[in-house]
Amino acid sequence: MDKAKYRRAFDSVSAPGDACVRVLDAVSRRPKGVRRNAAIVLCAVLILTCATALASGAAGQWLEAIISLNGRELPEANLQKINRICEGDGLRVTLDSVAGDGIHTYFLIDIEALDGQDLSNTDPETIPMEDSLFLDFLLELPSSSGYGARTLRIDDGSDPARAQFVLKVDFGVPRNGSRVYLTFHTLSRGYWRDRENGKEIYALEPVAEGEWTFSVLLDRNLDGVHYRIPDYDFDISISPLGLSINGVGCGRFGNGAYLLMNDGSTVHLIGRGYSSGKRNGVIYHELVSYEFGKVISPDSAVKLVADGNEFDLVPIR
Amino acid sequence: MSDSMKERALMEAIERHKHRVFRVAVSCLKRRQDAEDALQEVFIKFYRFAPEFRDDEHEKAWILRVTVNTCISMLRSPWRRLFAPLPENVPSPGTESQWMIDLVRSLPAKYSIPLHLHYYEDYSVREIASILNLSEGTVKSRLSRARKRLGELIEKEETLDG
Repeated sequence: MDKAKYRRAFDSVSAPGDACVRVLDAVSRRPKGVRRNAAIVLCAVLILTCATALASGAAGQWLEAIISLNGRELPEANLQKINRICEGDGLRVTLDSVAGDGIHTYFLIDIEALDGQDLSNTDPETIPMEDSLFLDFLLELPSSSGYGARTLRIDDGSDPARAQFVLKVDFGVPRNGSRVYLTFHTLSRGYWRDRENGKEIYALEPVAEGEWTFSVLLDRNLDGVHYRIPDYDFDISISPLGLSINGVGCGRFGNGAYLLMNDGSTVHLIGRGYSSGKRNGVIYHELVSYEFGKVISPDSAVKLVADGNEFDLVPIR
Repeated sequence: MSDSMKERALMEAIERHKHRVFRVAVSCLKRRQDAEDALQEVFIKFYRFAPEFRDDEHEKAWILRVTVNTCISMLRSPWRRLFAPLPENVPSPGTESQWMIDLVRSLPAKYSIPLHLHYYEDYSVREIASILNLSEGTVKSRLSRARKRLGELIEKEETLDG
């Protein structure tokens, strides 16, 4: 093997001319292709306040909602008050606040019908409140990072003109300080179709359709800690609420996986989620996230124990 | 470090190392698109972690280590394997260069990466062992097998051509 020949061959390989632009675009806070004009036209931002560590009023209810969803408490420092309103197409949509950490993030959304639409559960005996309304959304992130997300109605339906939702997002890559664009586009009601004919097909009908867009700078107070597992070449980001694994080849652990902390205690991994993204036109699923059963201190983790193996966690400096 | 300082450091690092990173990625990933993705991932990590370096050599070694780890992570992703590689060439002015690159890319990454670091980046066995977090013995063995395999491939190709 001729070393000079090898060098000549690889001398002919060059990085793409727009490499710098691509990377800067990926790390910038504005994702590609966002409809800036549409966002400006459609979203009447009435109030813009950004503050952290607020835990009163609606924010307090928000925390309660999270606690009831997950059965655990969040540090107040991880609450970001947003309070932005976007009106149009018969709805006033309020992005009230964001809570969580850089990996597991919860958005609290208030919906108010402006044109007399009834948002209450029309069939409370057979349809659970959380399944009575569905809020569709599009979340745009910088770069090609993946995420897993879902919305859930959390109010009790006592006000027929209002509904409250939580959008829970698991980011594959921690999102501290990232700007994300969140667009809600359809509010649908669940109902039994053809029930009178005995078929009972659960279907959705639109209550309102439009585009309610928000631009949010995620400002997490508690950062994650990045670890690497030697010899396995995948990175793990551990946050107070969970962990995400980038490079999933070795990351799908069986049940019973847990973290060993530096005080000898253990923290079990629960609630596995897959995150997806699109890369060069191909949808991929290669980020996996887990939640913990309690809030932890991320820098106290020393080992990951999974499927009978112990993996040392080496912080990435 | 402020965001603007981080961006400036990032741009300088991209200019210094983009071809180096891309060549390592091309040497072990089968598709140009994957190599481009790897390049992007490496510099996103650079930006995210904003590492401090003792000197240029330390920075180069960090970049190469992250590149190698990124490429290996991409190769190990089971989802990636669902998509068959497309027949696609890297830009290359000469047939012989293209042929050589294709041969190197046909090697398993555990051989092509140390080979590239040794042949192109001029790293010693000890330095490669440090970058790849392997023992020197393992690096020696992989380099030897890489040369042997490459030699066999060249011989096979030449036989077919002849």
